[in-house]
Amino acid sequence: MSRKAKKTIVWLCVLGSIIYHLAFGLWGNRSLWLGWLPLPGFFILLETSVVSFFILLLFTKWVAPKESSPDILIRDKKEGL
Amino acid sequence: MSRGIISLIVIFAYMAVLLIIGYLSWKKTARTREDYFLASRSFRTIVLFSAIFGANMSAFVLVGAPGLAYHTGYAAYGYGVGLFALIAPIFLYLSGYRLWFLGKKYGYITPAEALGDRFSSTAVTWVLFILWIYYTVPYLEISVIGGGIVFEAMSGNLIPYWAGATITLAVVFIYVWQGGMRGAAWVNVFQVALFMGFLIFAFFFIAYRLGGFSEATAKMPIEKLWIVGKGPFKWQSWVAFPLFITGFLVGGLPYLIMRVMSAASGTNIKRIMLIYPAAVTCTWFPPCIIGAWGSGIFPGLVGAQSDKILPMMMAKFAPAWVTGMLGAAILAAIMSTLDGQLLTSSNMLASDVILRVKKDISQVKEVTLCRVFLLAMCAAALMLAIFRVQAIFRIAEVAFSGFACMTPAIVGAQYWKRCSKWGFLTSIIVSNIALHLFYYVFPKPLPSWATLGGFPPVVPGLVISLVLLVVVSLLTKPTEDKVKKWWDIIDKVEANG
Repeated sequence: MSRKAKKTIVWLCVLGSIIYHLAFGLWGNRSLWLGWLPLPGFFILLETSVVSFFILLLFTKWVAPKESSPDILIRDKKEGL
Repeated sequence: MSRGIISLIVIFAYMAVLLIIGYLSWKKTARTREDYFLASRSFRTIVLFSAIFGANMSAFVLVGAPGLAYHTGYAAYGYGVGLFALIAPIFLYLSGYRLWFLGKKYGYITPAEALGDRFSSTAVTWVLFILWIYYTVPYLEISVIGGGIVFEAMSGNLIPYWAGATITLAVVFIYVWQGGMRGAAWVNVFQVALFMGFLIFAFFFIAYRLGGFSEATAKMPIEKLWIVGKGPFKWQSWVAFPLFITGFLVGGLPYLIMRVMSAASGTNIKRIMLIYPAAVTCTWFPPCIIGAWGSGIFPGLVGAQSDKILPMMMAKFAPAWVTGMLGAAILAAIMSTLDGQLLTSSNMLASDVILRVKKDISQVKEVTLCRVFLLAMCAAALMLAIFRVQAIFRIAEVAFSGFACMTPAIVGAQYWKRCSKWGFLTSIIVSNIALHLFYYVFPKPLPSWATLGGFPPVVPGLVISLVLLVVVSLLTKPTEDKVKKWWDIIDKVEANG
């Protein structure tokens, strides 16, 4: 898969998460009980931690560049401010 | 021994640990600009995460969040951080990652310095500096007021408000003065562990004292279990708060960007992005649930009275030393934000103003100057807090939105080659003027056209910011030489993807 395609997938996941959150705001309704924790609350918790973690994992793998060679960032005194 | 005395012993023990860590960092800190301001860009994952997360999480999480959950129930959690946990790390990356490696290459210390160089423009540096200081000062005042109130309340009025504010500020001043960025970040490791650990402990402890999770929840009024929809929030706020206010805010806060710039490697920045969602959950979930439980235990609190719900629950169900720990945890959240604000403000004064006017100043003098500014900022913050200056206080209303409206330009300058100086400046200046009109000039309630159908002012502010950035940049000439200087490096780093 090309890097562009990977980046597109990640940004679509981010957008999907925003839409999910918005949909929850528009149509979310009274909690279903799951013991002491209301079920929609449980999904929000999943969205916050688990889903976000996996989207960010893809982000760091596919969108952010790999660690560059240290030579690129060595400061030449002439190049500084 | 009274509850107040026991709380004070715990709080002073906490303060003593901070001073010891500050002293140890002093021994490690050289008087060079890069070491004092950015700890020689040496922070690895844990220290980097604590420095950023500590500065990002203010006392709101221990005071405001449970207070909000008291009124709105469980929904406060989804409202506060449902989306924030994903969006905040992305904005940290977008605003900070490229500045981190460009800073490493070209020696930038502050984001205003880097962006000024990007456009070959002192005006860009100064506009950023002025706006950042303008919006940071009210938060300094609020943080110091918070410290004074915590001391007064936790000690049962043994320590007066002014003395509490002074002690809070003095301890922060000492460890920042000693170790600069290193001192603040090392202390932040302890502070983040303390407030996060305390919240998790309090969550289980109170549930246990209430007879278990189901029992605790059963005591809540039924409407507090509603999440959204017919629940307490308008859908516009539900989306705008975590996305456009707190999400974009992260991208515009100078003290967070500077902490990203102190990373040892890109891998460390990526790791903290991955830690963020779990950390946000562990920090926000307990106070929201405790606040919601509190609505069943202490019914009838009105307005801001509910901000005391966490201390009230602790006082009812926990022994005195645990209440003392709560005081220390609130102070930890306050101080971990305060140190970032103070260090960054005094650093910007030295680097972005004095160094621009007097270029031949030595590094040792620059560090000394920063320390002098630090003292001056502390004195000013203390005066503002003691006299509770309302004019400054009111700026805080607009500050969150103001920081957020700077984010499109800060990110655009790093990701869009065509972005010009005039596009950058008009985007930032006009959107912030518009925010002030929305908050202070236009009659309330704001008309629907101005709020784009009921959104908070930050949303039209962001639209103005984005449109002006694009349109004015396309109509004006970009700064070719510096763009090449930046993109030579950016292209090399990105080619590694």
